Amino acid sequence: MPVVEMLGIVSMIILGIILLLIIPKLINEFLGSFAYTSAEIVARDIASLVSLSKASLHITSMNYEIPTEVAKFNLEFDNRYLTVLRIDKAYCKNSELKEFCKSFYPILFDLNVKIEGKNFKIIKREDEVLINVIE
Amino acid sequence: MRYSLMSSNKALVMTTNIAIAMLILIMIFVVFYFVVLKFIFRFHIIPREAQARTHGIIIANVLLSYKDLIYQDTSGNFYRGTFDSSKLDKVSQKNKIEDIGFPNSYATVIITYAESNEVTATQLQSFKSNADKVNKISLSPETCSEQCQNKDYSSGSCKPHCSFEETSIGRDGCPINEVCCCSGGEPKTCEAKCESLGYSSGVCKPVCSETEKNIGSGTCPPSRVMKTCCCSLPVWSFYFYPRNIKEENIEKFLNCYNQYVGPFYTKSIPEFYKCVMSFVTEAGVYMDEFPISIYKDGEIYLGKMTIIFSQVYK
Repeated sequence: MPVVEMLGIVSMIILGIILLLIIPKLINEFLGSFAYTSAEIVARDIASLVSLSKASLHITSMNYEIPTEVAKFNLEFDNRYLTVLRIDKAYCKNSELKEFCKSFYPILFDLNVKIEGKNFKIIKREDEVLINVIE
Repeated sequence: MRYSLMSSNKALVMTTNIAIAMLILIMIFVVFYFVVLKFIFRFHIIPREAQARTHGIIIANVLLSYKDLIYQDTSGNFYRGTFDSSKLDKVSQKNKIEDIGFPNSYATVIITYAESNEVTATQLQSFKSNADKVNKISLSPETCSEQCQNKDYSSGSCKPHCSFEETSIGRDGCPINEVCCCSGGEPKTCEAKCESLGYSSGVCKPVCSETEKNIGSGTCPPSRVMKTCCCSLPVWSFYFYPRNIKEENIEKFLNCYNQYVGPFYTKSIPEFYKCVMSFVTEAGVYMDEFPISIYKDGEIYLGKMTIIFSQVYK
């Protein structure tokens, strides 16, 4: 077999192996970025933290940083539900991406707050819970 | 020379074919990837079944610090994880907690002392005024003396403290700061004997269950089948009033609760679980036990808190 043919086949095999190794990592990163910027994940994290704040006898505040710099959300607490809406993407008006762009999650007690921003501080004063924007 | 050129062309064709095959393979990967993503978008990133477990654990953690339930000392310090039996009595009599609770969910809490073989009757001697008695007596007020006679004692009177020979049966029927002390006679029925030992109730059965204490057959009437007296430990239970739930489903839930749990007794937790499962099918029911302690009359007892939780979706 000529050298050119051999080189071609070997280089293709090496390229194929490299691609097979890279693709899962790329998929993982791609899925991770979706998860981090998903309204469902943010809603779950914040709602769980707010609900759990009732369990603290001594902790007075908790900070929450959304795990991505690229996404921006609006938060609304009403009727024991937290509604999270992603506001930095025009395609989020599309109803098919419901869980990714707009999500709601139950919380344990009544809290009527509306917030627009990224990072929040949950403050507990006696039995009252407040949520303030850090930045 | 001619042979060499032909061989080179053949190699080029072969290499091109391999390259095309690789490209097709990559395209299949990409298409498969987007199909997977589409499913993720459609069927949620977080499985909804996980919500019930998370919320059940959150409720347990909040209850362990809930000021309306936990013990507070004279300096005002609250003790996480230590429930005050007098606060439990109040919540259990009301049956429900309304100021907290997840919407679109059913949550039931059952608190009791640890298994009967872990808490001895001697430890329970101080636990004479149990919630069951408080409940019964509050429904049909009787004098202290009448209550004692109904329990097979010869007499009873209200005093600030009962003596060693007397048995306290609670504060009902007595002025504030006094308890009803029964004396004389020996309890003749299984129920009275159990109550005198500090248990909430007693029933004669062929075999006692795991949560009951066998105190022998002496107080059980003779029958064809050999029966023994089984004493039950005090139980407190309540539920979080369901919000955003259809009235008919609230009724079904309350029927299950009244049938199998009730305010001061628990007939069967597994049956209650099955009953709730019969109309909550969306994500199942989460049930778990948490170790706790119970404060009663200056003593701390080992206890357990059972939470049965189900989240439904709007």
